[in-house]
Amino acid sequence: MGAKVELRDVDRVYGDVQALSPTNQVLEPGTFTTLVGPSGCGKSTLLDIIAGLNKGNGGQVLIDGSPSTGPRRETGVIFQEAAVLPWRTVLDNTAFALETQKVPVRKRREIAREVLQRVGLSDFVNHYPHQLSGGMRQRVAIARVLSTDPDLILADEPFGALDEQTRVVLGLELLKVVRQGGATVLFVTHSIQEAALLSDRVLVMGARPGKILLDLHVDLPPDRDPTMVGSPVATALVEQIWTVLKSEAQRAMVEQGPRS
Amino acid sequence: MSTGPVATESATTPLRKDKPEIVRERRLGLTVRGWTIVGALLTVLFLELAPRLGLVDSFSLVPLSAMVMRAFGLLTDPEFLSQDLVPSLLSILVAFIFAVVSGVLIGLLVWRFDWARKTLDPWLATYYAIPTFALYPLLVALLGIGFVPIVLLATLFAVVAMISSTVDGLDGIPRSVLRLAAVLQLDPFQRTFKVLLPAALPQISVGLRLALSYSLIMVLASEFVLSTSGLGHFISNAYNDFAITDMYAGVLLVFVLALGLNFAFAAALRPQSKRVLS
Repeated sequence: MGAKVELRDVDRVYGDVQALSPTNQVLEPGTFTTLVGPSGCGKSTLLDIIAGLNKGNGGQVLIDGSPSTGPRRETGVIFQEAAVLPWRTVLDNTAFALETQKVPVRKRREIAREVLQRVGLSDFVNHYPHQLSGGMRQRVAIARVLSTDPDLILADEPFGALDEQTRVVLGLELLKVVRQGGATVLFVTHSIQEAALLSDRVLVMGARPGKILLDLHVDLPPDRDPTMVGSPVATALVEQIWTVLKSEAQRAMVEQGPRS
Repeated sequence: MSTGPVATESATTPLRKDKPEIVRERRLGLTVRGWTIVGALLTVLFLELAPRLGLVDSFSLVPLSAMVMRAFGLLTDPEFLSQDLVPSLLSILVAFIFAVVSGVLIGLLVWRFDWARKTLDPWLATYYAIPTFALYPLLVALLGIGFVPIVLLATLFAVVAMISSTVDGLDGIPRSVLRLAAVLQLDPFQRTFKVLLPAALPQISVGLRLALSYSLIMVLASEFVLSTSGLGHFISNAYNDFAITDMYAGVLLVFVLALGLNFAFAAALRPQSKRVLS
């Protein structure tokens, strides 16, 4: 099988800042890859370019071997703040992606109910987002992404605003549901533990210019549970990532200087 | 079943926002609502008794009961209905609809295009400092008197409230929701009607209530001077004819109309206002 996503010399410049230096990467189908790095290192830019929301200045993004020209239906994107529509019930939020693709009401609601069950929200089908906690709203957003059965899922710090426990629980749930569907995942986070616990592969990014510094394989069994954070494999990995990021973060802070 | 999704609910329990408890604080033995009712009763009592007891002369004020009786009389008078009430309601309705449709459209343009915002911003900021009603001699010269200049004035007065509230609402849409619309590749129609306008609706509904009040105010004020029919004309006519009871009955009907429309609106929009994320 060919690569799901292939980046060829993709870069992005904002003014005179090299947000992303020319990057070459391949994401293999069905893998869960995490992109970890300090804030402002260009990880979200890279994700946006793959999502088709941002055009790189140069290079090419190939998805399933053909050049990407913009957003595509088979790509699901999960944002940092849960992008839920407050005037719609959980069910109709979940069915929204299918609705915009003109799937008939009965069919899309049936699919929405099924994915809501998978993310553990069956009892909240008729609730409105304001009645849910932040973690549950993010699950609604995940359910909506799953509803279209995407082959590529891009997650931009989806659990960044949540507390540590919820974050681990939701991360593992996401891992479980995407493993069932076989989608390729690129997951952006600034949490090193989250990266080690969830992924098959960790890409470590540094800032200014944003570039991938390390490409690590995570040698943990495919089925993860929270206790694995403490395993020797994960601990060693976290330490390795930390060493690189620490010097990067310090360098970035010195270079950026005080923000006005 | 200790590790399934159910067990995780403790970390992500839904925050059901129950109705906040109404504070029943008493002042001098009465609740706030109690005092409101007392105030209303005193007003009613004054309006009834002051003319009857001779505190106010009967050319200035008629007893409330007389106003109410006359108002009911007017409501069963076919000539009043066809000559005065219906034309006013029609003008208000037409002006309101024009203001809402054009206000939302202009609001969308202002929000979407930077040049439109830069062009219109100074106008929007100063608009309500200008007494629009001062334009009426110009409109009489251009359009004569009657339905068209009245509706035009009322629309002009109400539209800016719609524009401002629409722009405010659109400005408040979270970035993630806009990005969602981009990711799902919504066409402009879906984007506008399934995302932008519903998301801006809480603010737009504030504009709707203002626009309705402004339409009503401007239609009635214009009818005083620009019309030979309508509720405003009826009131000014009665005033000129020293038909004091008719005049007060007309004023009373205007009050009831304004309050009724406002309450109906508030009730219709209430379910929406709750569905806002904090």
